[in-house]
Amino acid sequence: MINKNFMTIIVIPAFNEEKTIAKVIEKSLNYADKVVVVDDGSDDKTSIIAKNQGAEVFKHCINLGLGAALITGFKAALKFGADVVITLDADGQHNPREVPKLVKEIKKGYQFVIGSRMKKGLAEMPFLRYFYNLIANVVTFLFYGVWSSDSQSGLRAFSKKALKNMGLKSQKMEVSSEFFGEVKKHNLKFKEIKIRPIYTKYSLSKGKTSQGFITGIKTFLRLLLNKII
Amino acid sequence: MILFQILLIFFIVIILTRIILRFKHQELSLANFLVWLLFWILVAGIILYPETINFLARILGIGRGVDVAIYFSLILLFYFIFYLTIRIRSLESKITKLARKMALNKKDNES
Repeated sequence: MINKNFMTIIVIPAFNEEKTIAKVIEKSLNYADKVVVVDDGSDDKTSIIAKNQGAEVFKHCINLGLGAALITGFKAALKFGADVVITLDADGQHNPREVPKLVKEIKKGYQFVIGSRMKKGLAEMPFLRYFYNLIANVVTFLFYGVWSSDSQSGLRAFSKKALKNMGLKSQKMEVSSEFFGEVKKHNLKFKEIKIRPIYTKYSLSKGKTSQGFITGIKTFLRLLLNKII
Repeated sequence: MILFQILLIFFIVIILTRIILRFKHQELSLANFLVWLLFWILVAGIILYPETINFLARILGIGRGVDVAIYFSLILLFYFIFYLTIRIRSLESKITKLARKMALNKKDNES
């Protein structure tokens, strides 16, 4: 599974995730050569726990946002010599067991692979979240011209070349949509595969604060600003 | 003087004291201080004698001098918002780069 000629690095952006991060890293290490955790200015023990679990930890001294954290993670991963970079959420909603499926697609020549939670209809996603995601997909399509059944998915795979080409400038959640702009701009080969998210009480309560209506509006405004300025 | 004028002049006096204080505490350069001082005195003048800009309105084909003031204020305001948005974005991106560099460098030093 771990192949020296093809280095797989998992990047996990984390902000105050001390409850779940250890387990996510422990499972991730089975499917990657290295796990990079970007602690985005957490106040809790996320960094220490991550380091003890064997992750390479990079800590922002202040909270910058998802986009900024991912870009830091990509830079670190490329420095380590990654051939494929996987991102997954620190709240435990992605099963690292799905990682090899994404890596396989990259090996086949795809450059950007999304693990979609909606590939098969409603799946198990709570309705309100499904609805928000649908709007996000439409907005992403209108802005960037690429349709994805789950544009906001945190489980993604990038080939080394794709990452080197991408000129990302997002700071916060709008990064998820911006990836599709880069897909279009650089003509990257893009694929979605079906995944099964793990919705625990914890990840759902977390989602309420980070993926609610207000955040949606803010993300939309940031996308709009990115587009015009 | 009508009430409206009294109110506006009152606000301008407050703004002027702020500007003078800023200048005294050296948070404002002499050039900026003079520009702002002149600007607000000019505004006060227009508020007290609105008919002075009526000729401007006539040249431009706008009804009243007051309307000219409002149109120009709006344009100025929108421009400032645009300018500030760009400044904030650029600051944001600088802070991000700084924090990222610190995060990545710290790691280098450890190993």
